[in-house]
Amino acid sequence: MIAADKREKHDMKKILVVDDESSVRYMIKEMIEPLGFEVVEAKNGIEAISICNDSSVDLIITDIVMPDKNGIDLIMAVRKQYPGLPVIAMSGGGGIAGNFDYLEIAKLVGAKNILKKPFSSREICSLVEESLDERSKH
Amino acid sequence: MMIILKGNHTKQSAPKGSNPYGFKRIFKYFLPLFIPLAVFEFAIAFYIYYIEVTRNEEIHAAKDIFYIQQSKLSIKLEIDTIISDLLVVSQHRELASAANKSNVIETDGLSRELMVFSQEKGLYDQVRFIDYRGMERVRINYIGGKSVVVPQNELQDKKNRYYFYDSIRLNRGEVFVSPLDLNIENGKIELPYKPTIRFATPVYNSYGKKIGVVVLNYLASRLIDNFVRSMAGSEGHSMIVNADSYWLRSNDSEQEWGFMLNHRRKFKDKFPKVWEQISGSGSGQLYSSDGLFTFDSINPLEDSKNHARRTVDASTSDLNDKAATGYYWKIVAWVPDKAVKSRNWMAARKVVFASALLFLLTVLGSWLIALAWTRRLEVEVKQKESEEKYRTLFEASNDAIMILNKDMFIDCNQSTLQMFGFESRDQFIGKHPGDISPPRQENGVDSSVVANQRVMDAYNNEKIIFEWLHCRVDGRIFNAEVLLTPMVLGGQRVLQAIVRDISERKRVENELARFKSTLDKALDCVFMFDPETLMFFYVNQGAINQVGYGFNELMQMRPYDIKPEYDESMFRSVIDPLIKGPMHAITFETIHQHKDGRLIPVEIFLQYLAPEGEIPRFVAFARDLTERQKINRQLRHAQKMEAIGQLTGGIAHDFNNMLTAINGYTEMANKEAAQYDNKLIIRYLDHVKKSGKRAQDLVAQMLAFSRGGEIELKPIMVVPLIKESVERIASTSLPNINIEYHMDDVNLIAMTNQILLHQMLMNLCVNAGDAMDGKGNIIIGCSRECGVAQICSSCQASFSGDYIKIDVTDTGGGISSAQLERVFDPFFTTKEVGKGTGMGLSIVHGVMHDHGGHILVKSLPGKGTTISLLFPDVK
Repeated sequence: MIAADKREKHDMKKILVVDDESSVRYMIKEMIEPLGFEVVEAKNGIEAISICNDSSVDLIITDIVMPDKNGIDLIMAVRKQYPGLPVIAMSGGGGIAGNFDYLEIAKLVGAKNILKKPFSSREICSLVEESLDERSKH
Repeated sequence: MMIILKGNHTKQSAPKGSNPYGFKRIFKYFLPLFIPLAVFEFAIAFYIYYIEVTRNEEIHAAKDIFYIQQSKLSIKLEIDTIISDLLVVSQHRELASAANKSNVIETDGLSRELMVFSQEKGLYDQVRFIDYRGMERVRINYIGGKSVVVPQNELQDKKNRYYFYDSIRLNRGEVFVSPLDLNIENGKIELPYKPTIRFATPVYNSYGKKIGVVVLNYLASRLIDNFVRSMAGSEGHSMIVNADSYWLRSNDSEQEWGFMLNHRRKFKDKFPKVWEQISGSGSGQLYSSDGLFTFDSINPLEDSKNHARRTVDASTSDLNDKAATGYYWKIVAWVPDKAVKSRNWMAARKVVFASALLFLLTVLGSWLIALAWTRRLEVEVKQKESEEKYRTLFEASNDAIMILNKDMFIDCNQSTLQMFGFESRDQFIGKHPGDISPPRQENGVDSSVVANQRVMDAYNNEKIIFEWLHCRVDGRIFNAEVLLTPMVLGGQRVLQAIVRDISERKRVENELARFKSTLDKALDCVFMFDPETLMFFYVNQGAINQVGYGFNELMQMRPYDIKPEYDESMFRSVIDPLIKGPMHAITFETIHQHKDGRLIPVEIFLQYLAPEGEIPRFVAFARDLTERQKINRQLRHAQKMEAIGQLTGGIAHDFNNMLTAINGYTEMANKEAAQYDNKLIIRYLDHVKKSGKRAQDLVAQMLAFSRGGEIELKPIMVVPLIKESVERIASTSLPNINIEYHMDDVNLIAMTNQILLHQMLMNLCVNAGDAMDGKGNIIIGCSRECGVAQICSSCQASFSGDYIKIDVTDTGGGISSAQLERVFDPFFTTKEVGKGTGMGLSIVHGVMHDHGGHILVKSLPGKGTTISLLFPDVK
């Protein structure tokens, strides 16, 4: 019943999951779809932008390190083209130049929230809801 | 007064030959000196000889004259005595009284008286009284020293004897003196020869009637002996010659008594010319070819003072024609010509000997004087040459040479004028040292004051040398070195000042000093050594500091003495190619050994320098590599850590991606299993979930290591935490290991992170257990360490201060020294493939240094290993 309620609450909000690992994309899809979201997938930034251009997306969950337009570039592009579109950046860690974590960089360039891999379904679900709630407030 | 050094004298060549002065040169002075002296000496010698001979002759002649006169006097005295005796006897009272009464004479008393007389006198051979008829009336014979009266019957008739005949004719007081002859007894010459003179005088009685004669036979040997004694001092032959030129006395007795003996030898036969002169004059002295004759005449009758008349008996054949004045003897002293010549020769010998000695002395003296003159001349020549040389040197010297009298210049050379810029010597002379100096010296002292002091010092000492600032006429100041030497010139004490312009030298010295100072201050060590002997001839202060030897010690050493890796042949094999070229320099690393034995890694830049006109040498720059090697090690380590960090970060990122899927799908699978209530699957998935969680923690730490500085540290009481962690580790991973705790202070607090501390203990304890093959003891210690000063075993940095120390000690096989250097490298492991990641100690390294702490490793192969974690004490 709770799941049905949530499904109604988030009825057909579209969430774009971007990760070069299909298993991760699928897992996230499995975790958040029960909350009533429409989940679309992209394997890199280019595909993600294309999807955004073709249809209305309410939230983007993106990995950072990806071939063919990485998560940072994607966030920057989204911030430019779709300023109100929230993005959750996720990463398994690491960074550039030794000192800057990818997630920190992602936050700097405009990610709404960040998510460290690996994460539990609870963590991602709550973060997705949080991000969409804040967007709806705006 | 001005003293000028004179020169321009004719140069004289040095004497040739071994004799430094040359015989010819000496003869040149010897002969003019010797010849006049020798001639003069000969003249003097001859004169002395002449004087000597003349003087000798005069002395001897005078002596002979003296002896002749002395003997003549003695003879006369003797005759006077006899005549006196005769007259006394003739007037004897017995005779007078005996003849008074009658012509009969009483002879007894007379005999006694005359015997007494004869005995007393001892001079007369016979004393007789002969009466007027010629009969002996009394006769006293003197025989053997005793007077004897001749008996009457032995008395003889003497009326025919010449002495009776001549004397009976005499008047009263007149005396008959017979010739001196040999006594004849009984018609024969009495032997031994008895020279005799008969003295007779007539005897008168009281009536004035002549009654006979008294005759005294005088023994003339006494007279002759007296004569010989008187003539004893004469060197000549002493002779008595009668008027007929017969010898009455001669040194040759064979010549005597020629008129009585048959040989008839006469003086005039032997010396006819001499006799002519002697017989013709009373006395005198004459030279003839036979010698020197000194003579005098004795006339026994004329010379008698006591009698008015004298006569001689002329009855004998020899004396018949003789008047009374013709009765004389000649006493002669004859020095034969041989003796005269011998005497002269003696005088000549003395003179010749003395002259020869004088001649030798003259030769020697002349030679010495000539030698001295020659030497003096040589000295003078040398002095002149020396003066000339000195003047030449004086003028030719590049140094300024000046003569100072007191504090005023009295002479100088040409260089002085050039050095100081004077146009002429006159312009310079009379100046004072202060006049050619700037007002003040480099150290600010007044030039004139100090110059006067220096001049005084030089006068009072041997010589002084000092540096001085001088000033040219044009005002240019230059550095000079001044040598002041006191000396005597022309009898005056003066100072010679030699001034050398050392501006260039000072410049070079300053450059050298700067160069040396630069070299000494250089951090690198500079060694210079000779290519042949390899001996160092220069090292800078850096080199001295590096190897610990003193400069003088190093000057006795060679490069291979401080390079333990090299001996001489090895070192020459390094430098020989540099000498031959074409490459003259090489860089290589080696080791220097400090004097205390310490080894110093060095990088040598060695270069062979042989600039044209300079002495070839090697210069070596040695750089201490100790610090560089340490920094390089640290840098390499840091680079390695950074690379590993990046790698780890990348791996962690991928791991997280994978864990995302693993954990996520496990979670979803678990939910699905719960829907079907499949407990077994749920339990399995829980194990997967736990491992996933642990993997997630590990990756989080790996990320922490790779990023660093992100760990949240807080003060934690470490002892309880250590116990909890270790017990958890022991229960799961070290089932057969005995754990000991050495943790007395439970209140120790360190800034750390619970997870990280657990992770580090886990790594250390698992390693310890592996080192003991899962069996043995692990000792866990925790304590506060104050005043630690160590070098970190992982980062190699030295650190000090107070620390909280956690020790994990095992009793395993230990770690070899080669492995010790690598244990902190990521992925370094000694474990079997699949059993160890090699990340354990590198994570501990990273975590501890993120804590601001350090790690110490102590390991003894075969004994075990202790790894200590040192956290900064935050009390």
